[in-house]
Amino acid sequence: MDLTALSAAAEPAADQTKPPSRVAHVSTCALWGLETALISVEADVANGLPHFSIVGLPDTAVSEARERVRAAIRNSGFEFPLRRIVVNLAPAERRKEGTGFDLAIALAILRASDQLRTDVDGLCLGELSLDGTLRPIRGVMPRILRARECGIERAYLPSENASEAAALGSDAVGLRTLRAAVDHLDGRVRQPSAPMPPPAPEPTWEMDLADISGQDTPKRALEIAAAGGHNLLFIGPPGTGKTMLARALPSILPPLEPDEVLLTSAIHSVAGLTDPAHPLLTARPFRAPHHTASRLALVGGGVPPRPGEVSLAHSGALFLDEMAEFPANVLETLREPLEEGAITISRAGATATYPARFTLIAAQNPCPCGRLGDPEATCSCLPDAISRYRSRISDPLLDRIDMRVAVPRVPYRELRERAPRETSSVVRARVRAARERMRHRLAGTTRRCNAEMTKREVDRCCELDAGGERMLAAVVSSRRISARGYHRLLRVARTVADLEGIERIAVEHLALALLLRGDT
Amino acid sequence: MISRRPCDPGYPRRLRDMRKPPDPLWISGDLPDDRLPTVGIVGTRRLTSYGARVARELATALAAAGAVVVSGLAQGIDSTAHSAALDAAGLTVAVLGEGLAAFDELGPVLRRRLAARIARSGAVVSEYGLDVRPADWTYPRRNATIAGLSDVLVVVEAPETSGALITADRMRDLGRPVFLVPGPLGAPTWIGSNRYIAEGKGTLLVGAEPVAAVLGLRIGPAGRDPEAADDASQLLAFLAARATDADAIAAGLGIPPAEATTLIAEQLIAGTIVATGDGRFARR
Repeated sequence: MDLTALSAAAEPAADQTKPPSRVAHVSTCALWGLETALISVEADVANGLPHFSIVGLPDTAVSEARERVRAAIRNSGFEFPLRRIVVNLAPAERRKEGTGFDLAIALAILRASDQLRTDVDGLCLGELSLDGTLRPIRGVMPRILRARECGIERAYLPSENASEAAALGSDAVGLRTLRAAVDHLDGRVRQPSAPMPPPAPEPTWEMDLADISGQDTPKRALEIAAAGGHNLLFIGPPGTGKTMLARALPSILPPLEPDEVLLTSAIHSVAGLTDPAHPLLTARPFRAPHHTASRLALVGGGVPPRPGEVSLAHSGALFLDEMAEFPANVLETLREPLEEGAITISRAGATATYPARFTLIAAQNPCPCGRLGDPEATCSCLPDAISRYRSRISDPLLDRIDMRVAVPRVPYRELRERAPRETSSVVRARVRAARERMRHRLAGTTRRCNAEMTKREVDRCCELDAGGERMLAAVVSSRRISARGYHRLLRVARTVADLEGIERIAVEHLALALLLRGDT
Repeated sequence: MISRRPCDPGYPRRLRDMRKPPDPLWISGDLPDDRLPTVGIVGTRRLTSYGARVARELATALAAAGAVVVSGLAQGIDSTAHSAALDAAGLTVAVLGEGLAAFDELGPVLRRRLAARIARSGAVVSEYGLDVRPADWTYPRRNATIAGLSDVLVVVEAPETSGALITADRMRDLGRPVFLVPGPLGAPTWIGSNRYIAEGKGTLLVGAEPVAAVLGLRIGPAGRDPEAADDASQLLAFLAARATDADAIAAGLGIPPAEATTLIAEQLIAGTIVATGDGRFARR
């Protein structure tokens, strides 16, 4: 690899005999949300009064690159040309954001002023500090993916970001300083390409289902939620294990599919949450924002728009503990992502669409004092107070929650029971098998689990046996079930059957779905 | 909205038995015919699911048999009785502890809706001026008016110091019968009614039939299907005392969870039990 790089570097050096073109080109990549575009940084160093300007719709952070680049070039032992310098970020019609262009601008100027004797053959990313050190940036993964789509295999970037690029299979050269970048490009001191980071080890879970005694139905519901991606609400008095159950969810979620890994990791890269040792996620994300979270924190926002918790939970689970304590306006923002699986953030001058297909796991008390339905305590809430408390979660939101499950207080003798309980790994195997059936059934579509099935797929894939048909007919005729509720019911029943490995939905599957739905 | 003085025709004749009848009585809607028997159903605002079920069953049975259900439109037992009577297509009268206009403007929205439903077939009445706001002192007289309008009174669930017991006292003053539903010993919301029974001031209630008999009515055949499957009736018996969750039902009936699931789902469809919205199930 190094040998070919050396010979490639030797050729442009020979070109120096040609009448030098004073315009240098360096490739870099711009990022808006998850959207990327390849940018060519062009630098022209001409005779004239000393002047340095950046054109091509730079935002403030990019314009400030002037000062950083000027200082970094001087402090790296190069000369900042005292001539008329114009840097253009092409294509020029879209606004460029962030600090990731510094390295490309500096190299373009050095190339145009002949202090760098070689053309830059890869994607350059990185922020410069005044002393010429390279600083890491956010959102490397989506930019590297774009570069590879455009056929640029090599990347020069801060050493902290190198593993992210190497994990995507790019020939990533991690650099500490601007000086090191020039030395490497001119072939004086070669830096090795970053090795492919080792795959993340099998994660250890803080909570196992076997740690929780009793609660058969809530555990069943959790398994169904993990397998089919259905939304779930736990309701119970304080201290009965709602949070413990929800925290056990990651231990039974199936691992990310290979085609989900890139997108999910890219979102985390944009948010600056990538772990340098293991840049690619293997476990599904589990996000648990506190109930003081603002709307922007939950759905994303800011300028430039950053992904919120709903997007960070993409292809994983979003856990809202004490759901009734979240402000109503924050909860209502969940409706669109729950239905569409994506969220579009529009601000003046910036729009970003982030994927947000997550499983919602929520927990709440049954009433303000939390003791309603607890046989060992007396609830002191008035009926009006209870209905006010319940109505904090609006009907449209409740309608999107497929399962509402009571988490009752577990009697002492069950707590002390030492009988072996089912471990998460056993449940996880069932969940994986069920997912496999779903994938097989939904092959050829972008959907992966039952909760994502379209209405037409529900009609096609949810075949009931005779008893099931009778029960469904009775449900439709007796309970004023909404059209949305009807399809959601069938999706859950489909998952229950999938977990048992049965193709035709039987009475007991539909019965469990109906019971777990738990609405009035 | 009209007002009636005791000397006016159209003033409820039962109220004239009171030592000091409301004067005037403000009426929204149409008061039912004075010849129809009336039953007061009152109780605590802080109701248990057992109290709610008994109130609903009594109001349904008596309203369907032709009695007018009188209560106070408070949250809890009162509202449950009113809405059960309306659901059974019966007549009901609500007595407010505040002015009719003040309630229309400031009352809680759910009960304002209920009041509108009541006034469509029955009446909402008050002895207070239209814009009188509710206060602690307005309720005892309201309770007396409920007693004045009722031939028989049923106290479903009453804690130690309950307005429902004031209504019961006024009933005794008028020499009219009082029935009380007994509750579990030690349950705070039943202390008042249990003590009232123990002191011999009222009759212990064992079903809707004795109340109907006093009113000269007959309860129609029970709505429950006598052919109901064994498991189903066991489930209903298990849920008679309180609402509970699916695991407890399976354990309580001693059947495998899968069987319990199907049983619960069937009864949900049949409408004999309902989900309470927090993952538990209760008898309808």
